[in-house]
Amino acid sequence: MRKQFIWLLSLFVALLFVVTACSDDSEDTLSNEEGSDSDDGEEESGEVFTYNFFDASGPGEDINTSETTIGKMFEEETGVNFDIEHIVGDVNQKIGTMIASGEYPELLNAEQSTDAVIDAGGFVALNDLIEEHAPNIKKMYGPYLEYMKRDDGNIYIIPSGASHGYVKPANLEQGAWWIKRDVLKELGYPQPKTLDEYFGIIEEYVAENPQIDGANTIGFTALTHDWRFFALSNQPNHLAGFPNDGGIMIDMETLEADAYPDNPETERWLKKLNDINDKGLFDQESFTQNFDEYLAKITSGRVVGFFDYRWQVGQALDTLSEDEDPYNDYMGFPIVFDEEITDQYLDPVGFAASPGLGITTAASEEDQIRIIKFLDHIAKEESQKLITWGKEGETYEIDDDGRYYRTEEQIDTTSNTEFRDSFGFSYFEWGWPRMNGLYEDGNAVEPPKQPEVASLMYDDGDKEFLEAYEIETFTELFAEPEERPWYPAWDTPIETGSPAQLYEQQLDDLMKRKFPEIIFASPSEFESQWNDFKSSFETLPYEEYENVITESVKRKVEIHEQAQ
Amino acid sequence: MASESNSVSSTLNKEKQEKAMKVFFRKCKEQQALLWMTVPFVIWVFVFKYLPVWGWTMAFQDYKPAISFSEQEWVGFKHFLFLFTDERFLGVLRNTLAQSLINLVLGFITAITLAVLINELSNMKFKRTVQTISYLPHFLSWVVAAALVSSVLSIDGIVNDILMGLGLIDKEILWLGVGEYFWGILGASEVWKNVGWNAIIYLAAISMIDQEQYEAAKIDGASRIQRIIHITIPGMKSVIVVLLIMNIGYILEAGFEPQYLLGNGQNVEYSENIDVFVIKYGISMFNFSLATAAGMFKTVISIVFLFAANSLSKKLGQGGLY
Repeated sequence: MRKQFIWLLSLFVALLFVVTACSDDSEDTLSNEEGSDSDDGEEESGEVFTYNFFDASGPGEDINTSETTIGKMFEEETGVNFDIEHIVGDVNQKIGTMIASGEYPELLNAEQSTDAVIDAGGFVALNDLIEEHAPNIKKMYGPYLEYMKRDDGNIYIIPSGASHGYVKPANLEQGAWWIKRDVLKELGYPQPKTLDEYFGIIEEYVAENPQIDGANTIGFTALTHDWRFFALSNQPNHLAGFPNDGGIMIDMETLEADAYPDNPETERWLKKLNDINDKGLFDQESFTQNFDEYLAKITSGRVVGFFDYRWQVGQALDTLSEDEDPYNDYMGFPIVFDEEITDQYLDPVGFAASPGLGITTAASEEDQIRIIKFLDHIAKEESQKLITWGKEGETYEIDDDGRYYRTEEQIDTTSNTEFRDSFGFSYFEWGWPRMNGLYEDGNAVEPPKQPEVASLMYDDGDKEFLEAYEIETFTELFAEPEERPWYPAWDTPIETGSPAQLYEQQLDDLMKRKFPEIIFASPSEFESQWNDFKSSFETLPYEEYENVITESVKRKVEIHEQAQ
Repeated sequence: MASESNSVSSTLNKEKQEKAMKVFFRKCKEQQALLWMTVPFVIWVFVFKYLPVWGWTMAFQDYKPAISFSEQEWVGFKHFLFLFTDERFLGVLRNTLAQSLINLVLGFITAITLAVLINELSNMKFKRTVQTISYLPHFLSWVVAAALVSSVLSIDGIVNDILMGLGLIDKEILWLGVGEYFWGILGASEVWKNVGWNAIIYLAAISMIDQEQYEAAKIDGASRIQRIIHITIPGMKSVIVVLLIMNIGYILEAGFEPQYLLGNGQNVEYSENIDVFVIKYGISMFNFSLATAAGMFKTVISIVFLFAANSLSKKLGQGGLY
């Protein structure tokens, strides 16, 4: 009896917790809203307004911007701060729920679901707000404002990265074919240029080293999990000398988009994978591992080579570069099908008009003005320098010629995650109004692209390889990007419920199902498997998708030509 | 004469009705407290189970969130047509039914067996331990459980190690990469996760059985096995039937998380069920109408199965749910 009583009591207490937790929360948000509502009439005399910002671009720590050094400075100048909430789990589902309920945070970055929020009328048009309250945004985005307009002539979101001049990055940020440094060293620093040479190196190394640290050597692994499948399906594009335009190749002359999954380039790429699978070099778990397992595998040092984008595997490669051993790091190469093809792995000067920040219908008119003023404040050049370089004398120095640089100590400090969080680099560096390239005074916007900083960032291990390949920076192996004013084509809005949207999902399903079959088939069956895939592909509405992209590419080129 | 008797019987009927009404109201008054206690639950059922049915209208529209009901575009059976004409839908339906049946059969057999075995244990401490260990996995989230399953089944996982060690296979098998194995893997993981939990209700049923029956059987010289077959199992029969009927109502609810988490391109032809399909082509593409249509389809099938199972069990003399 007594025992039962205790049980009931604890159940009751637990319930109580749940109830109070819920009510606490709702009170919080309520008082918040009331606060900002009732304050509307008053003068902005040191009043601080807190708004919600949901950031679907990636996971991270939820924080109020005023808790960071940069955020505090912005708050003092504009009277606005944001509660940042980051995405956990699937973006489409989270944004889908917001759309279904119609409840948005005041400021929203909806990542790949941006089009759906616009279709559902979740974002307010920014044209007038920018015109009236945001001279700095207008100046910074200049010609790009036209790209930001949707079919209805309205601007709904402000993306990051308005390019002002081109600076070749010193370190890879985009796609590359990675090989473990240990392998390069052992084989006498070979420099692969074609796909055959690349896999030749892997084959040679695996033959001599069937095991690494007691575990079986994995020749080539691939990332295919969930929405990251493009890390295996984008290669035909890159190998044929195109940048990452997504699932289409864009003809430089005619500007026609061509969905390439059924092209000979794709066949050639799959044939190669089929071939290395036959030789036992292809990771059998490529299609069953998830993203975490993939990263763990790369970090373990068992993998000889893989293709991926630096920003996607950053976590794994950073871990490897931070440890003592310089030889378990990876070095990236620009691989193409044949030597006469010019590689296009580095991003051209481009402007991704989506995703970006949008003000939602949850913000009243007064709130909208305050938020756009806050964003405009960030677009000032001094604020831009603050979010990229930091404070002079603290995180960077200026020499007599007006060149910005960082001391070795400052480089260490500014690459420390804890410092970056507390200073606010982690939260403000990207995602807000931001320019790219060069400031008017000739300094690079991003410190790592400033030669003075880049040269100091290499350690002894890096230098060994730079010297062996007779290069100054790791991107020197890569060709300069050609001009592609439409780049990137993947920011083209795809209408919800359109055949083009259906094509994307159906293609994804088809490739996920058929690619493993094609790659794992015995070489004699490759032909029939490939033809099978090709005929299935031809039933998809790929022409509709191509038309949507072509139209968008041509529109962008037109805007570009008018601006010239 | 005839009219007279008619009117007499009608007045009689009326009186009878009035009397019945009186009795009804008297009963109501008597049981006032009880009736009031049910009110919150009736409201709950209405709000959460009946009001949402209004949302089914979405299945016949090209539903767009931000606009009002009157502005929605009506499209008739378009979404149902898409669902039933998609060449993959048949496969998806097959997977749903197969996964569900496997879960149902395996779930019942293992849970009943475990309950009977636990009941036969005489060492209380051991019994408790076994029971606790067997139902612990139930409390793991599928996200964690799926990570465990996939690491156990990976190329250098323990399953391959053991099979290789015993010499049963001569090359590691990529278990999750072979579609044909998926149903089995799913069934086994479901059993591992839920067998202990499912056994609890059967243990409760067994404890209701009169101990004198066992004593009498013992005196008559029944062996342990005979006692299980002739006393324990018949004693649990009514619970088994009720649970079976209820579970058959959920026949299209084969689960979502394990299929979604363990599924990949190589086993998709066996792992994708209705719920996963709906996530891909409904929710993720913001096509709420298609998701609703699929939900309606599931409900209708479930109701059909439920009625069928109920009448079948009545015919078999087991009594139904209602």
